Amino acid sequence: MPMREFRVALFAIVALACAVPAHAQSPYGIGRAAAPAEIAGWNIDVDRYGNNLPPGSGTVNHGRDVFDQQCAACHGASRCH
Amino acid sequence: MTEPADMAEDLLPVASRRRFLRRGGALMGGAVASGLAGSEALAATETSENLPPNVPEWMKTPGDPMGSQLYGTPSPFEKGVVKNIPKNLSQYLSASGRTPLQDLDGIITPNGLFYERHHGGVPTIDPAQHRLMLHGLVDKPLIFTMDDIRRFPSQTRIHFLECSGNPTYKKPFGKTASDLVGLLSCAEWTGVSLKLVLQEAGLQTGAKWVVAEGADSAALTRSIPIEKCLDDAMLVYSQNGERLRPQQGYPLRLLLPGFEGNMNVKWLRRLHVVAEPAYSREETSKYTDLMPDGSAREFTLYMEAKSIITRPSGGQRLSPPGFHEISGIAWSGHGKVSRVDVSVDDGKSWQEAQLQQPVLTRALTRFRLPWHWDGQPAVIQSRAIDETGYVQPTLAELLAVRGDNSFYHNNAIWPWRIAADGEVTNANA
Repeated sequence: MPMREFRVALFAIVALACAVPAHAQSPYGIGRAAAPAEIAGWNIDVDRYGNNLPPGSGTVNHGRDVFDQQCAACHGASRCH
Repeated sequence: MTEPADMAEDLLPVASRRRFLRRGGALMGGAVASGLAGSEALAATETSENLPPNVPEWMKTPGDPMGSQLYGTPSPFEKGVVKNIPKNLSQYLSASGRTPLQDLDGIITPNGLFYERHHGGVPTIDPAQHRLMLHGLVDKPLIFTMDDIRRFPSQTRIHFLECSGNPTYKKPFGKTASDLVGLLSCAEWTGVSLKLVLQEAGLQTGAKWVVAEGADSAALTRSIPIEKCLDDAMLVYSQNGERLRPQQGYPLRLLLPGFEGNMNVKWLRRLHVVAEPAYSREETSKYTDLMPDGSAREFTLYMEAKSIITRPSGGQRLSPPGFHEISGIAWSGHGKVSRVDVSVDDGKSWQEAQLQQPVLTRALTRFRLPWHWDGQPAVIQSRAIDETGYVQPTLAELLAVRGDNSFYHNNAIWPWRIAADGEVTNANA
């Protein structure tokens, strides 16, 4: 291969490599993208700062009352399992 | 294990029932199979018509035809070998059922006897409608069907699972090996390396923990260090060759070899990649260890080296004096069991037991020691040493360090007392 053609080919390869998106391809291409609305509907864990709590409010005392009324019959008054 | 087998009569196929009725006698169940029953008890329940020189009746007529059981079940004579479930609980939606360790051999727990712990009942999940969502600090949030999960390269490994509250530190202690440490089982697991699934989404800088969530009514949630997720963690869909049982997380569960059972989230529906742990209920109110000074150890994830003699063990009866094999199981969340010592003289001296090969990492290891019982009272016990050099402690050593407020991670030695009449009881009870 003459040097000029080699340079052209090399340029083409480098250009192709640069065209790949910043995020690498998934190795296996398995699964589909999760839409933001789907994530919002399923993401229910709450971190220790209280982020992602559902709307509403409550207090420890109110929680104690709710537990006594609705939970203690099965889970016991002093500790729950 | 000693219930009369005729209680199982209505479970028998017709041909077996006919033979059963003809025989008329009540043979003993698992006690006969275990070989530990007193010879007098055995003699009292045997009939002679099936014994030498007579030909047993089950040779005189054809047995049950092919297809009489489309999914095989144990012999009706083993009907006493079942999960050990506490009686008289106030509720059974958040409860546990123990493996009958003293009735099992080898290292693999049959799927029907694998220990169970649920926090909101066992959900019935249609796998076609089950999804795993992977999101958070990833380049591409993804949703997987079960067919998707099974398209990944698969792997199969044998590992134990143990609840970290197995047993507690306070009396009354259990009577049998199952009562004490029956929240322990071991299986061959098939699934996909979690690392492969995480790579599919692409981890971002700052990804330090993965919050795993179950699709049960408790939405049980635990935070897993990213190092474990990229090491030997698996997403599992099969156990001992068949699809997971509902009680074990059908259709998909997390498996974290050597970590406390609660973290091996069942019915797995979501993996949330985050920078900090969620500090969920199951890693704050529960599964932390309250020390005598009022501080609490948190994220005590590894199950440390432990062992127990399962034969002879509490509730069994050793008879007659003479040769008896001592057998039990050992395990460590930190790797392989390197040695098991057995004492037959209340801890005064120790002998090295034989380990069943191959010894696998983070799996049950069966140990055996030949023993001649002289018919005198004795206390027998085992201690495990793992490949890190860690030695299983006594209960007294553990209590001295941790006190008895702590509920989890009791890996103490459990000695058995053998009376002159052969009765085996818990020496710590």
